[in-house]
This record gives sequence, C-alpha cells and structure tokens, in this order.
Amino acid sequence: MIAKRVTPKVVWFGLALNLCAWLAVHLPWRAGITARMWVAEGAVRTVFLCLAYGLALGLNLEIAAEHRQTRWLRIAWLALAGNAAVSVVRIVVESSLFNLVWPDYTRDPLWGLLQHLTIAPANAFLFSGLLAMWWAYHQVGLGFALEKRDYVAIAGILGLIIALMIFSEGLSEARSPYALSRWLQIVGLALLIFSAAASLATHRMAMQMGGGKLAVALRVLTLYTFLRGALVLLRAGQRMSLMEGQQADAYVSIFIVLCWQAVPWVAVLAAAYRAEMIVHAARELEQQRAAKAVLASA
Amino acid sequence: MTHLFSEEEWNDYIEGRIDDETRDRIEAHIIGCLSCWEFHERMATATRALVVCGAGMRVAFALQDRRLNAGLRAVFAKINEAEAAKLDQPLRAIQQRLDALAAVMAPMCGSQTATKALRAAAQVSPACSLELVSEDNWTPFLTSLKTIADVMCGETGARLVWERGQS
Repeated sequence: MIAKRVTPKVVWFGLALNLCAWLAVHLPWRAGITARMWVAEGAVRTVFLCLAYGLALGLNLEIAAEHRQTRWLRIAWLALAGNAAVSVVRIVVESSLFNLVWPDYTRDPLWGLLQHLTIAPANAFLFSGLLAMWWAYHQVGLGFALEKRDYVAIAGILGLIIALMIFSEGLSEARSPYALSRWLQIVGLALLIFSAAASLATHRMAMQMGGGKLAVALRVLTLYTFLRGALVLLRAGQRMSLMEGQQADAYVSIFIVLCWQAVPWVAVLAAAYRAEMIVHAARELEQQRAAKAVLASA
Repeated sequence: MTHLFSEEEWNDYIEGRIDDETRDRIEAHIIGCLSCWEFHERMATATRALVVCGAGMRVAFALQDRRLNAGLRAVFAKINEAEAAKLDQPLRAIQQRLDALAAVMAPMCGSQTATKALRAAAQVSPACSLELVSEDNWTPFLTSLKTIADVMCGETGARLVWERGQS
C-alpha cells in the first residue's frame, strides 16, 4: 500500500529535497563560482519531477481502487491518474538531458510540439477528473452548493479564454512552424482554464465540509490547478514584457522555476491527503475489530 | 361464639346498624346468656375505643388541601420520572450511536459533512428524519449512510462506518 509510505510529511520532504537539490546546482552558477551545470540541473528536474508524478500516479490509482462502488469518483481519480501518467511522459520529453544526444533539442520546434502533445491530454484528464469529482459529490445530495461569488469568479476565470485568444501571439508556440503545436497550446490552456473553474466548485464544497482530510485534499487540488494556471500567465506576461534579446530578472526566473518544480509535488500532496483517509480508516477499523474481539472473548 | 346469631348480626348490633326485630331478639338473648353478655360488653368497649382513637388520629394528621396536592404531585412526578427514564433509555442509546457515527466520519470528510450525511441517510430511510431514527429502522438507516460514506470516505471509510454502526 503506497498510501502508508507516501504520507503528506514525506511529500513535503520530497518537495524540499527537490528544491534544495536544484538550488544547490543552480546558485553556484548565479554567484559566478562555477559554469552553468545544465546536465545536473536537467537531471535534478527530470528525476525529481518524474518521481513526483510517479507517486501521484500510484496514489491516484490506489484512491480509484477505493471507489469501486462509486462510478464517478472512480472515473475522477482514474482521470487524475491519467493526468499524472501523461505528465511523466511530458517531463521526459521536455527534459534538457536530450540535448546531450540531440544538440539544441530544447530549442527545436519539435520540442514544443512534443511538449504540447502531452500537455493537452494531461489537462483534458485533469479537467474531466475535476468535473467528475464535482458531479459525484453534487449527486450525493448533501446540499453542497455554489454561491453567487463563485459564479462571478468562474465567469472571470472563463473570461481568461477571451484574453487567451487576444494575446495568443504572446504564447511560446505562436511562431511554431507546426500548426498542430500552435493549436495544441491554445487547447491545452483552455482546458487548464476550464479545470481552474471546475476546481473552484470543488473548493467551495471543501469550504462547506467543516474540516476533514477530504477538504484538505480538495483544496490542495485547487491549488495545483490554480498554481499551474498562474504560472502559465506569469511566464506569458514575462515573455511579452521582455524586449528581443533582453534577459529576465534572475530572482523572478528562479522563483518561476522553483514554482514549476513545486507543481507536481502539490499534485502528490493532494493525493497523499486523500490517501491518508484510507490509512486512517483502515487503522480505525483494525482497532475497532480488536476491541470487539476482546469484548467477545471476555 | 355467636350462639343463635351470625357474626354479621353481632357486628351490626354493636355498631347500631341493625333492624329492630333482630335487635330485640339479641337483647332478649343476652339478658339470659352470661357469656354472650360478656362478649357483647368486650366488643362494645373495643369499638368505642377504636372510634375515639380514630377521631383523635384524624385531628392529629389532618391533611390540608395544599399539602395533599403537593404530596400527590410529588408522587405522580416520581411515577412520571420513572416512566420517562424507561422511554428515554433507547432514545439516549440511539443518540449515542449517532454521535459515534458522526465522530467516525468527521476526521475524514468534515464535521458538517458528517451531520449532513446522517440527516440525508435518515431522510431516505424509513425513519424519514434523524429525530425518528430508532432501533426498528436502524439497519435501513445505516445502509443509506454507508452508501453516502462510500462516496465521501471511500470503501474502507464506509466499512468503518458500517461496523461502528453495528456495534
């Protein structure tokens, strides 16, 4: 059982280790002590992020197995597992380690195409997962309901799609020779926006639960979706504000890279909090049965 | 020792409730019968003493209306209390079981969800409302709750709820 080992504490430790390892190989270059260690940076990023999404995949599958009786939640967690699985492929295809065997791989337009070939389905899985989750909890009929301000916020988030269309020239794949790459980026971002809107609905449910591990898991899932959306916007804004050949601010760049590396761990954290419920319930069940056995034998 | 008369006739004679004909017969008899005379004297003396004592006791322990009312109220209150305790006992046991179920669910899916789940389960069960859940409709209520717990807490959580509800 992965859930017993991959607790939220372990995930926080993994995130801290990931960020520290990356800073340890990146900061000496920033300080002018060493040359840039591309390979080490790429290796840290690829290994840790694959590990994070791998753990998310395992945990999500375990949670999906917990919902054999509830079809929509099973679909939801399987979709989130799909998101994690495709994201592992994404981390591999966008790894700068391929530069070692394919010079300038990360500057090749094919790199962008491969990246968005994984991002679009990953976001589709994320969106369908969140939507199925919202539907499942809504169907139970416990009175979870959206408030007026949620509808306003959702309308605002969906309004970002219009902004996306207007500022599509500022996107990284806008000048890609592959039309598929250009479209996939727009579709992927639109799906991310839809996911953010859906996660707002699950977040409202979490607010109405009155605590509990499930509420924490849903909130962290919302954070995962919003963090990804915010980082995409931040990077697009940064790209659009820079003149040709101008370098981005070092601190901002480091901050964005650190946040991007934290994103997969946030996905694992959401799954770890939900999986913690299984461990908690199993432990309580065991204690209950033991107590019953003692009473029966007395 | 009743001689020609029944015990009832003797009692009536001593208490002065007898008819004239029987009284004449008794008096004609006791003039000539010493043992009956002595018996009559003893009984008449004892009856007078009882009447005097009874009157004294009634004066000594006279109950006023207010005191009588208070006394009766206290007696009926005690009777009601005992009957209510008998009725409350299963209700209190059900409330304890409901509290235990809410306590099991709250760490997993939140205290508000637990309360809402209990209400929703009661509504779809034959109890129709949480206040009417009893020992008789407990199993269908618990089955409905398990279905909700399956969604909110997962299979293991639902099993925990089910087993806690059965204990």
